[in-house]
Amino acid sequence: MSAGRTETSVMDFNNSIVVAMSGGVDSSVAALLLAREKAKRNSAQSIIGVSMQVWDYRKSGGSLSRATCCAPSDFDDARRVAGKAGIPYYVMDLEDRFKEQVIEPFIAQYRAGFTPNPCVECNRKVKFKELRARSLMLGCNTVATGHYARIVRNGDTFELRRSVDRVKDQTYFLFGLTPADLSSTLFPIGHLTKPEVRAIAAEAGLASAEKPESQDICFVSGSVADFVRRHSAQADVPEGGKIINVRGELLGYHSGVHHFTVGQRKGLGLPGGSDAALYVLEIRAATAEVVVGERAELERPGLIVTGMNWLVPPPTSSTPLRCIAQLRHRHAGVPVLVTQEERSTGSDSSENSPKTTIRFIAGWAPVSPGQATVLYDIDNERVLGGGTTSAKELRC
Amino acid sequence: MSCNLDANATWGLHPAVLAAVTEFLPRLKRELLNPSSVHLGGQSAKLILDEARDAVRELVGASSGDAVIFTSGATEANNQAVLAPFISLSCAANIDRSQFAFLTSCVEHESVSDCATRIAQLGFPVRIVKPKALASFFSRADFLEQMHPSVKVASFIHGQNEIGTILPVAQIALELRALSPQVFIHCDAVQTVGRIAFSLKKLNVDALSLSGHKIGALSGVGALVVSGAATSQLSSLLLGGAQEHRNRAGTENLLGVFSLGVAARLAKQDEESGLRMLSVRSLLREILLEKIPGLVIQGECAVTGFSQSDPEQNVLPNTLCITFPPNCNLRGDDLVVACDIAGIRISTGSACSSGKQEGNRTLKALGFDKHAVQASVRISCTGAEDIAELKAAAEVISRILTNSSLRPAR
Repeated sequence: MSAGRTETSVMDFNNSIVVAMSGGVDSSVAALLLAREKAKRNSAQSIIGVSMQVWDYRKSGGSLSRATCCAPSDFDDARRVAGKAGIPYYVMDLEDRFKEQVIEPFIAQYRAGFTPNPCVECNRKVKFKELRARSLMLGCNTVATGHYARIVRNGDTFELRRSVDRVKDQTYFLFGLTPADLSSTLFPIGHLTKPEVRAIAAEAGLASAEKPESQDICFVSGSVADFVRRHSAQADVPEGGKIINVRGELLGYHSGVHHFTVGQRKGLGLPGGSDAALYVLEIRAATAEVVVGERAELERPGLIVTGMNWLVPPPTSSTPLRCIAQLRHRHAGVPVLVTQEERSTGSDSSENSPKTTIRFIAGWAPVSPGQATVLYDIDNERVLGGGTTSAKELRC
Repeated sequence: MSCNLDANATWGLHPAVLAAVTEFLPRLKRELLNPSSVHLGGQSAKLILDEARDAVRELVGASSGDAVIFTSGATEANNQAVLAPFISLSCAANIDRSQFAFLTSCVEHESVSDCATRIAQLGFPVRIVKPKALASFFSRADFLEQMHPSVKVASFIHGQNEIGTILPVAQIALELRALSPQVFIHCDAVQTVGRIAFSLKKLNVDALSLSGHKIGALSGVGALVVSGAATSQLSSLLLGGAQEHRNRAGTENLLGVFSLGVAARLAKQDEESGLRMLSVRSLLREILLEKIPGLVIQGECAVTGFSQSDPEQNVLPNTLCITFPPNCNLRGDDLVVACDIAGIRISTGSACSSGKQEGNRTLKALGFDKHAVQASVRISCTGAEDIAELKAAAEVISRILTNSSLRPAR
């Protein structure tokens, strides 16, 4: 870290803080570290633990057997941790907002053949918006979470950087935070590795120390396709259709486009195991067609991204930006050249944000419409911005 | 500051009960106090139970022929009065279940409304009184509409726990008995015992439930008081012992029962407690109405159509349910949290054990809109609050609400 930069993991807090607690080990340790820091400084500010009730499994008829969020036992765990840390703890009901901002778009996107990323939307529209707004009413200007990410202060700028633990890094889900958000957010465990976090939890005797990792999407128990079906009106469940190749030849049938993601290889269900080396190339929701082909056929010159949130001054058509693009969670990233129209063309009413063009310059990665595209600096450390991968293909 | 205004959730241990319990505790070590034992310890224990029974009888105006069954709390008492008869009926062969209906209202505590759900699952008709018009309270006609000769068990809340409205249980019972003479009528009197004057006989009910920790006793103890004539209609919920005259198996919670007896005696002696509560409620009501334009006080409505014997007694003297105006960009559950941080304990109404606040379920059941359900809190007092603290608390609540209205809408 160069001089003049300050990591804002637990230092630099002058305000009262709401720490979001899921009951899991990461947010538990985040809360514990904040409480310890407060005690060390003998600070009078408040630290308040909050669990977000976003989804009610009793109402959704989902399975309770799997460890997911929002189960009463998670709240019990979070409350126990808060008790140990000596901070007040409350459950906030955010079900309505979550349903409207995360669940409903998630289902609609899947039905339209996209592969959405609900964690991005939850962070952007629920955790760092609704929870922040409600925290402000409690006099808390700062929201802390147990994300693996770092915020580094560099002069007047707050930089979002990958966590020290590169395997656990969650910046891919956090690109939607605005510069203002970054100045009032703390990630108390961003400078730690997962084993270090678990060790702190174990040493403090936290109930969540040995809790298994939460997997995939917190509100989906079972398969996504099953979730989409259960939460759609009968008429809205995507119907089955044809699986074809790029030449339009029929290879088999599928039971709905919501079962597929572009770039997916397994589970095509083609007869005779003939899908062994085939990938989903394209999902055509309007005609219920799934186009498959060889991996090489997935290659594109780049992609178009909409709804970019920039944490640095955006590039223009004349001043392109060389950086690293991450196209999926756990994707290592690929070097790209980014340009952006100065303003919206207005030709496409559904996408009125300026179009951002991303060209692969060394190597390529499968492009999955609906997923997030997140840009990092050339060191693959600092988040520069991010947006949603468009279904519109980039032509050469 | 520290100001407890959530008495409907729990009263707080009465100082005199604390003293009596502290003095009593060593006896549990010295003597072997199991009321079922044959030896002298058993005899002493029985005496303790009977003294408490008398105190409870006196508190609710019951006579020596009426039964007092000690339970683990009002929830168990409600389950025993409401659900247990239907469990027994389920075991009987050759009965026409359609002729054994349960009647209740839509504003009951979960310990009755959840029983209603179970009774329906057992195959018995359940009739629930709801107000005809949305966002209003009941009329006599709403009750009459659901009354039917097939109703064999009925249960009504006396003082509504979330909005404070007092139901004219006596008049309702009178109408119901005319239509269905064999009906067993139960009343959930948890929030009225010790707060307003009434008696088992005047209420015209067969049984009533009460809770220890709502009148300053320990939690984990309550009672079902049953009129002598109706004891034959009782069914037990817990099996496995002859305790409580075979009405409730299990070794008695002697310490809890003792504390309940002490608290009941104190409540009976304190004839001015209702007045003190009322003055606290009035003070809070006045300040909040003045400071928050557009504030709505809920629950002060009478059930229309009945000849209310005491028109003043429409609402619990200690319960103030407020709905703040839409320009306050704050939900009830956020106000509860903000108040807690400021040292003031209030609630939205019911809270589930996980800590999630579901809004005011009574207003929801009465058909109030989402705003009213979400933007309401319940303030409930004991009457022992410090006036300066109360004024300060009302100021803090007003300030939080006023500040929230200055923020842009979300």
